[in-house]
Amino acid sequence: MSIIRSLIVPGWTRILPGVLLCVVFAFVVMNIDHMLHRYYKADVASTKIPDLKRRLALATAAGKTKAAVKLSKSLRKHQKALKKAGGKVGQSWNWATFLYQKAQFKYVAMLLIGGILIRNIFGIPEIFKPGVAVGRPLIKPGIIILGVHYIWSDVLRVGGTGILLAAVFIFGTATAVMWLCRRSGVPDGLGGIMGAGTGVCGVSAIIATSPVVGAKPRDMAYAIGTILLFGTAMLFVMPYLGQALGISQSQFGTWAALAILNTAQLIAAAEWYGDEARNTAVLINAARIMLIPLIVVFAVWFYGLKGKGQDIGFWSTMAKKFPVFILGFFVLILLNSLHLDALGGPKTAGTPFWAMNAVYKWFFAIGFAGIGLSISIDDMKKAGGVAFLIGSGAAMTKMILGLIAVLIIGRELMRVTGGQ
Amino acid sequence: MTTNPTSDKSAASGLSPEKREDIWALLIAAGVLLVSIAAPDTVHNVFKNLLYLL
Amino acid sequence: MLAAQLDSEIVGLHVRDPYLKQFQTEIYAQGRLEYLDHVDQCLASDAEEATSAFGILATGANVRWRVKTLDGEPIEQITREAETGDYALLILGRRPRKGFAAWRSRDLPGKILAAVSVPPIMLVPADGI
Repeated sequence: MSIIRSLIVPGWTRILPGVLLCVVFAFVVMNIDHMLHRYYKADVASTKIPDLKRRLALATAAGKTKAAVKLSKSLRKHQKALKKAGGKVGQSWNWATFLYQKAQFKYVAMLLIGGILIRNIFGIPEIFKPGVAVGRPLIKPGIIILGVHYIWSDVLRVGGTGILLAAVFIFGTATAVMWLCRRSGVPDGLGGIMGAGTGVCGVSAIIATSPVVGAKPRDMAYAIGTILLFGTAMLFVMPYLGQALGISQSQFGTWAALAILNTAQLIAAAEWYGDEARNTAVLINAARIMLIPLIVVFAVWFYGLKGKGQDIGFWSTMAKKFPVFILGFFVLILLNSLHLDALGGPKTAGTPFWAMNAVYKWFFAIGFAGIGLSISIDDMKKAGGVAFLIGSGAAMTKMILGLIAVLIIGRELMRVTGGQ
Repeated sequence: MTTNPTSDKSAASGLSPEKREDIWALLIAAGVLLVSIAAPDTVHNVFKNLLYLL
Repeated sequence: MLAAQLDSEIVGLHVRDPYLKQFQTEIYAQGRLEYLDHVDQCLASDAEEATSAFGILATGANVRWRVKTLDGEPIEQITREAETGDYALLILGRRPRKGFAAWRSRDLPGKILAAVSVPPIMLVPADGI
């Protein structure tokens, strides 16, 4: 009974309006995304159908049965897409192709940009604010459910390589930042939170380390502002930069997981880039967030801290700061790897995992709504002082080194197959 | 910012806020798994078709 | 000096801004209670320091003084206190800023000035910016 009682969020009635706002916002945007996608598909179909018909006629006349079957299948798919939009061959939906394909204006972008505009132009009434902050963690059930996309060989190959890369980047950044801060006379509190914050998971790492390293409020505000500023900038810049550089989905997922600190922003950027990019990024991120307790232990060791009334021993820190929910993600990967008939797979119609695969995007959408509505330009304006110099240096270095690393690794190593 | 997140501190009855949040995420995911086992077609239909009104 | 000449009491307002607490809901934030405790401790120690510094200045100027500590968003709290308390004069300090610094600034004194009906005095540092 006491366990159930402790699961009830204190003041849960306060958070309800904000969570509902996120749900409604996500629902509206998902519907707009769906509509845009339908017209984009119809536009493609409208252009392709005449060509497909001509090639099918040629293949049939030449007796190329195999090619004809393939063309016929493709033709049916496009005709279906055109029918869904209620259009005819020759009709054009250029605007949908421009928005959906060229500008990549998908549900992630709409929720983030829309959320930022709502928050910073119109403002959010006080009644919604507590719930909007709680909307973000609804990404977590989405991440757990996404476990059905992976099998253990993916975890070992992508996750294994990913965790190695992430560990090098995280501890490399943390060590470099903390060492440089100490050399330049920056207080340990600021050096510690900037080392952890620029190393792994941004603001989350600042929350975890600031009590341990005794960071001052002013430094924390500077550090959080800086991390939010660069996280938001990268979230919007990296998908377009990735496209311009022509890097593959898996490469982008890896790059984003190395360069973008905030988990929610990382998943948003990768989801924006594409499904494969998201699968790679989520897997590396799962490995990465398990390193949060280690970075706190590292800060304790680096600064030789004793802990003021807190237990900062290795195991107690690991237990206290370990993100438990990620275990659910790995349980689903295990179940998917067992290829149980009773559970099926994400692409096997009529099975439980196929059904779950339809759900995760909705959790992501509600979480992204929460992120967009929480991004405050006023918070980012607080970026400044030494924290800004450290943050900008670390962010740029990680972005460039991360890009070099993924270009060296190539396209295949970090690709999630899901057993396909 | 007039909200007071410290109210969470007074109710710290065993579970920390982050552990509570994680357990909720696990419970929600388990709920989705159970419903998907019970009625996969319905779940798929709701989230792929019914929720899209446009 | 003004307070000493008029034999008035000067009240220092110190606001403990819980701004940093909102970030505890970051998606993977671990150790939230420790974080909230740490912010509370920092705010309490800042308040003590501010009270003591204010006391030294006021005592040095031979003025009766006290410090009132408030909790919440600074502009909201100061404005409410100025309007509801029995104050004859509101003394604010302002550092003029230009360009990017002005854009970044929340302009706390300017916003308070616009919102209160108590007669104000704005102190600007002699060195300007």
